[in-house]
Amino acid sequence: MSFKWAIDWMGKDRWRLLLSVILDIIGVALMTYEPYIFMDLVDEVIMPQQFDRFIPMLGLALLVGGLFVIARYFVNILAEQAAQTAVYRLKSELFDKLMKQTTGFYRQNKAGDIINKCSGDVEMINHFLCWVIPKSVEAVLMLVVALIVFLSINWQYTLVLFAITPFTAIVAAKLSRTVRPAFQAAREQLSQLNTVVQENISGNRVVKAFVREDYEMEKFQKENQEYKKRNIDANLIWLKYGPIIDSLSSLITVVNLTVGGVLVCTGSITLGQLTLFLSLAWALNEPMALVGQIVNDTQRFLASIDKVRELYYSKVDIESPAVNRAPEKVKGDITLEDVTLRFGRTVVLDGVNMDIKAGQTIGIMGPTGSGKTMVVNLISRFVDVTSGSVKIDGVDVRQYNLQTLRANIGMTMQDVFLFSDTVESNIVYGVPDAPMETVIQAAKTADADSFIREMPDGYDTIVGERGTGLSGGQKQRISLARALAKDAPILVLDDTTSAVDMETEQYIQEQLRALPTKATTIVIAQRVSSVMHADRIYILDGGKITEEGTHNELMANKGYYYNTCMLQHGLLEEGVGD
Amino acid sequence: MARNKYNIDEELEAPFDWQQFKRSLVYIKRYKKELGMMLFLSIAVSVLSLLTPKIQAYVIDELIPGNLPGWIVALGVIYFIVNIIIILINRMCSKIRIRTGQSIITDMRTDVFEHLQKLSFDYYDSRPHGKILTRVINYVNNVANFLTNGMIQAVLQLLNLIFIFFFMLTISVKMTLVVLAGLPFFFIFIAITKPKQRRFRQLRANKQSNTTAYLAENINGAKVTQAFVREERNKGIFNGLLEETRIYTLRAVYLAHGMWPISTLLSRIVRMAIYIFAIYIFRDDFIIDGVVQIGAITAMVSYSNRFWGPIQQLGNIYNQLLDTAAYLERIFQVLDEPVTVDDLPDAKPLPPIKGAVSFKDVLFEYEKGTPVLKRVSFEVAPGESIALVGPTGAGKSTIINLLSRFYNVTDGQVLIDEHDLSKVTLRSLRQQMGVMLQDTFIFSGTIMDNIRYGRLDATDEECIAAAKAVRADEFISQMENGYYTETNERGEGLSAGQKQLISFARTLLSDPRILILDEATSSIDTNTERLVQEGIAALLKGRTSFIVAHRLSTIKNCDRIMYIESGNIVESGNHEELMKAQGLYYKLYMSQLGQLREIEARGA
Repeated sequence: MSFKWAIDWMGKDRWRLLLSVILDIIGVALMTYEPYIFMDLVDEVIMPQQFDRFIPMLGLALLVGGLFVIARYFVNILAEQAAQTAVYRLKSELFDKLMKQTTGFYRQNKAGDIINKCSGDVEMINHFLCWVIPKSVEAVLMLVVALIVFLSINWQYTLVLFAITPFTAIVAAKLSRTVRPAFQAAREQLSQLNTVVQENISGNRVVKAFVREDYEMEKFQKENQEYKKRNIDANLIWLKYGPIIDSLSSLITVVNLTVGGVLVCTGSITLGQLTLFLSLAWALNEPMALVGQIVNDTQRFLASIDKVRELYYSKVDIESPAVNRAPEKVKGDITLEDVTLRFGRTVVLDGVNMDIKAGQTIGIMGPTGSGKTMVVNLISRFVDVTSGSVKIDGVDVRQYNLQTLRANIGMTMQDVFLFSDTVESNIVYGVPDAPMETVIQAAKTADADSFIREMPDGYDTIVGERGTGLSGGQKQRISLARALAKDAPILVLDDTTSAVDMETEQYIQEQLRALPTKATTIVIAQRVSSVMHADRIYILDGGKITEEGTHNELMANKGYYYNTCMLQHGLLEEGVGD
Repeated sequence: MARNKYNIDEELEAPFDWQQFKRSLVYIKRYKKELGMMLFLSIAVSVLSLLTPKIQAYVIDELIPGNLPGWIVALGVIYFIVNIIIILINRMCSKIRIRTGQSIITDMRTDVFEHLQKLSFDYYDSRPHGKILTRVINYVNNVANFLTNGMIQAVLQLLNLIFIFFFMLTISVKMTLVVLAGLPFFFIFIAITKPKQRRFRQLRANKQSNTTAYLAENINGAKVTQAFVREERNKGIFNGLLEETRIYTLRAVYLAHGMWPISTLLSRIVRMAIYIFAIYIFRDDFIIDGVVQIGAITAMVSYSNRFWGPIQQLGNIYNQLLDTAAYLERIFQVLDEPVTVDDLPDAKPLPPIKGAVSFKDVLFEYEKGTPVLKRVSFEVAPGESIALVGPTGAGKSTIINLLSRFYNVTDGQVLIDEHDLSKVTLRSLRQQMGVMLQDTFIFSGTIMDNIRYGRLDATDEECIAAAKAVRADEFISQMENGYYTETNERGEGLSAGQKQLISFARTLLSDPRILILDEATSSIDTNTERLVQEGIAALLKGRTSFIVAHRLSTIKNCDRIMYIESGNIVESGNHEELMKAQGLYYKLYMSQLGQLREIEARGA
């Protein structure tokens, strides 16, 4: 049940909400009691001029009033505290979930929508917990108090008054049904708007390069105007039912006045009783007026909580096994046995076999989109094989604890992602407590130290999100330093030096070879120079290994590798002239 | 460069002032008619609301004692009708309010977004994107209520206060002063808490923005986080940000909710005071001939209650105002962000480009005192192809960025066909340039949409032709839905090389007069690259082009190669010339060739 689910997030702070509700009850009781004091004050003290009780009674009134105010204050504060705890814990767990999700999830869920779920939707839950719940309690309490007081005076009359409430309930139920889809539509649109704006911000370079500001504006306006329209629609539904609810609650006073008045005339009730009825009319009116708002906000809450739950319960494709049977630290033997990977009908890898010994360097080459990156994604378990198996030190990667597995792999990715943080923080991303020497050493190995020092704040320079503002080569080298700082037994270099010149690449290779501990290294590249020193080179084409061997073997083989080499070399050789 | 990251609050220099609200008047003014109508309707409701207690009093005081059931029913009906009218007017008012409120924030969001389109790379590069997003979406959403309802309510409540004040005066001037005596205490409370209230609200807004920024970045970088096993640590950081948000939200809430108890308590004390003053101090006025003037006292008490009601309302509105101010100042901060690269007032459109480019004494510095280009000059003839080589950070990308005027030169001139770029309109310039940047960006939508981004009116056939030219057609047509395959933001599911090919097709489709390729083919395999070059050769004939690449095979056929080192052009000439000169280019070339020769030799 959604309500219980939301409240459960408060954890131990549920007692705060409970206390808030109790205080709310006390508050309503005090509020009801207050007028009686003043009635007595006027009737028994002031009118007969018995002033000896005057000050004590005022004191009592002030005490009751003061307690009421304090109770109400804490009703709100306690509810807010409890709700904030729930928000905190819920957001924290959603974040946790997001950190576990894999590419498949991110391909289906747009960032704009996820952000919307974690902010706007959670805020709606917050509003429900700290506003709707206390208000509902108040409304019910007031109705109960009114019912008791009215019944104690005249039950027939009470029945007449309460005859109106079912109609309010019917209208509220109708509102409840219609308003939810409208709110859902509005929040969906907010996600759309979020997405368009988010992409516009991330893609600002492309927008400018193609002078697409007008087009972007148009795209944005479409979503912006639609959002406006849907918001208006959702709010107008409330205007359709709200006035009916208001009319019904005003009918209570009318009934009071007319039926009551006539009853007084016929002598069925006294004038005093009618005055009391009228003075307690608020106890009926207020809850009736609140009903609409409560129903409205509850529906918004329900629309939001569905979305939050959807995220919270989203399936994680790749998880650690229940029992960890794998070692903590690996040596670095990697084997792929008859690995096939399929996405839907698309075959990405088809019967791939590799046998890599610890400490070896292997190279993978092949045309664009041939599945090279997927091989390393399988090793780090960003995807799982469709059939076959990937093993590290003879143990299937699926038997490793995910974190252990990945802790053993230092990885650079083709699509370099840097965080908008300092260069240093980016390099120590995998080993946050590493000393500065490690950072500098890693940067030096990656040939990044010199250009980092030339930046305005050196290692403390904050880079833009994704590393914007840096050149491709700079980003690649920082990303390499980040992988190296981890000092893991397995090192993956995916297209890591494509944007640096060959001299720098050669330097980096030498540095890597000079490292004291030799990691099992997988190099994915387009340049022959990047992989030629590898112990073994695999050529992937259309998801299959078409060639494998050392540089010499592959050159002798006169296949893809040889051709690429000749092409890259030959193109240059032409340029030397005589 | 003032850069910002997730855990740094974006401080505001400007103190809180009414300027924020005066500025928002621009948005409000457009809806003067609607707001005027709302005010009028609200006043009508207020006046009508004064009527209902009168009817009630008349029934009780006159009709019931007079035993006139017929009249009672009649007045009951009138009472109901008056109420219905009030409800209907309220409905009308709400309808206007909803529409106007939404219109105002839609307008405001449009302005923020429009301004963002004009801001240069710097702005986007110097803060987490989540922070920008929060301003466009969340902050703008937060100001709607106050700008419509809040202001009207404030006027209305003030009117109410004045009415009641005069009613009180008619009963007893002295007692009115007693009622007013509570006010200074209320103002003192507001004055004391205001700095903190404002501070906590600003901090809350900041912390919310920090949290969103961190969340957004972590969504995009989830894979890196997983690869580096940072989940726990990042969760710790995120929890820290959440905790800060929670703390300042609660602090703001403690004070905000404090408004109500203080005013309610004051109203209770004032009520006590009325009784005490009536009985002991002003007894001459309220006890006449030994008879307590209970009517006057109760009237005073009820007016006092009705006086403090609007005060409470105003207190709530004041809370809203502080909240709104915290968001408004952030929104205006974006709107105030100077547009560093903009059309001059007398900028003229650049006529169709022939393709001559010249740099005259170009000095460029991102930061004062550290020049990136040190007085660079060169001339390019129409149709020439220029390659830029040199070490990282030498200034190659800067030259390219200046060509499209993504930045303004610090000194000197960049000219195309003798037109100074600083004097032409940006639009006319960039429309004729085809820039393919290092960072490929794929929008969510189909691959076809992404290619068409280059020229919006291109037909499907033209898009496919462009894709064929860059050899992207093969892999695209192999995909499940071919050109209509949906891609996600950033092109999840496409390899880096594939993304480069798609954005290459996009650039080509835009039919540029000057083509700029900045490390555009680094992730594409050599064979495909060669095919791409063959494919586009015909298309590029007669167009000026600039190429930055590390693969010398990509650039050696260019008409001219410029070797850039620490902000200067140190060598310039065609491949043969530079080889003959045996300078830096020669060294670079021979070193690459040497490596390749070695590679081949090893294989022999």
